[in-house]
Amino acid sequence: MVADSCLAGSHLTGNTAAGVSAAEVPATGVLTVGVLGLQGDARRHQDILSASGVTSKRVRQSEDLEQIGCLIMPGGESTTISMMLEANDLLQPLAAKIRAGMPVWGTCAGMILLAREVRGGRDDQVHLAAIDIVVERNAYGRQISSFEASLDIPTIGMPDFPAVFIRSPVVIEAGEEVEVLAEFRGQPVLCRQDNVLVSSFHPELTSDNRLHDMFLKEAAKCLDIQNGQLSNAAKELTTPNEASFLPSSSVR
Amino acid sequence: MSNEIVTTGTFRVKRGLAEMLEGGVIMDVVTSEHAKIAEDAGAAAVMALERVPADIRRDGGVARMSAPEMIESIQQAVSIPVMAKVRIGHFAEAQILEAMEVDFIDESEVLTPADEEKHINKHPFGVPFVCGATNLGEALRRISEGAALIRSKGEAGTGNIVEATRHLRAILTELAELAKLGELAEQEIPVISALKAKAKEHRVPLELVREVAENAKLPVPLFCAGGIATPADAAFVMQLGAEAVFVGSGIFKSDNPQKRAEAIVEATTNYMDPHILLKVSRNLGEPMTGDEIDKLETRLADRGW
Repeated sequence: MVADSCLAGSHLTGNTAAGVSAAEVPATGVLTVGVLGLQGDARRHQDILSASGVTSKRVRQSEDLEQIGCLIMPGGESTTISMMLEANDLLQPLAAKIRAGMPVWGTCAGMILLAREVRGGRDDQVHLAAIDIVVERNAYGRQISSFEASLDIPTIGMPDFPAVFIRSPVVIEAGEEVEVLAEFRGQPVLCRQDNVLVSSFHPELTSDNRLHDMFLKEAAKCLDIQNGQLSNAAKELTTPNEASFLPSSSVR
Repeated sequence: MSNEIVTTGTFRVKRGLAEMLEGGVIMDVVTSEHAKIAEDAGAAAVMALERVPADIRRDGGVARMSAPEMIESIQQAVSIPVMAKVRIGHFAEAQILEAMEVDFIDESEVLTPADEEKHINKHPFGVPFVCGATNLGEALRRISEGAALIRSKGEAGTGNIVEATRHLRAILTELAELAKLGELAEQEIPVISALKAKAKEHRVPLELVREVAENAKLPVPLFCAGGIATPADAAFVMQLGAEAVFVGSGIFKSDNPQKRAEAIVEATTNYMDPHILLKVSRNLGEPMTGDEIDKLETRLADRGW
């Protein structure tokens, strides 16, 4: 498939200084960033994006998905967001977009919703199974145990990342295809597989935009690759069916 | 991989949970069965208490922190955050709730106040606090005492939204006025003295007033509580500027709690979409009866200062 391993394939070093890349991120105008706005701290993601000069769009209905090139799934209560994904008929269209290669990043509850398997959730809780990890909800304990820690993410060159964990999930199993970018106390807290990035902590609760920048750059690169392949594909007269797997925003 | 310097109970961590609740509904529950219904209906958190405000109002007498075993049964029943209430000023009740690892403490005017002079100093606690406010000054005083979340007081247990509307409007109007000062603060000395006057009027530090003026926003989320009984009520206060809603008696004092709870959750997310609001407002059965404010014997919103 066209978009497989989009994020994983790009070797970005990450900025060492926060805020460097606002102008470099080709996201504005080219790439519309969606933030899932069913419940949770979508506002904080939008604030940190706008501080870098990136405008974003809240996604509540399936029509909204047609207008975005990548998606951030924020923190919140995964049981609530799960119910609202179904109530607003977003589950299938969102799953299809992710399968088709749309870059997506889930923080905390967003990570739970993207996982292959969820433990400690409601029995009827839905999840997208977009990344091969098993997560356990609230695994660090109740709110009194929520914490901040300084995290080194050497795999992508990000020292001292201020990581805020709020009733966070823990990754208890990661499949072979999953790239573990950072660990805390021996457990993965930042992972990616193909076009899916997940973190059990909340970069949006800080003013450090390095991970947001990385996600946007990779998403933009991903779109470039898809656009390139699309034009090649067009030359080779690809069936319309295949082309329709691409995010609509890449078809311009 | 990491430096292993771990800190708990910071203001960022406390306010962080409040921010995770945005766009959600926090529901009052009195039993573990209620709590399960609330979680299944999509509640972002539950408030565990022995009697909903409508019953506290009816029964009279002193209303205190709920029994620990009652709160524990609810903690065991659900996976979402569990909040519980303490009396205004009653820091020992708060210490007990913290020892139980309740996720959020509501220092609430719905219970009988324990101290008429001081609210709880909330800074030393690792668990976040939510407090009610009827105007900006009250909100800022609670924030300077360490509250991580502000809600309107409304008039709990009435099913009447009018007081919550008054409080939200008061807070947001005064915020906008302060923000106008903030825009000018860099240039004009008279503005600085105006900010000082505001700080004095609200009895809070100048730094807090200046921060709020410059950001045109409270430093913590603002939710609505008190009198929400229908999906339309939830959408109404969200459009006015609330960032999430508390629903007390409105759900479990209605005909069909499960259905009404789901409808209020959907309305809170889709508060700007009248067609969805119409859809979820259908066939809900009777809402709670409700009271007119000027016929009440006790005005809960008058408690606290």
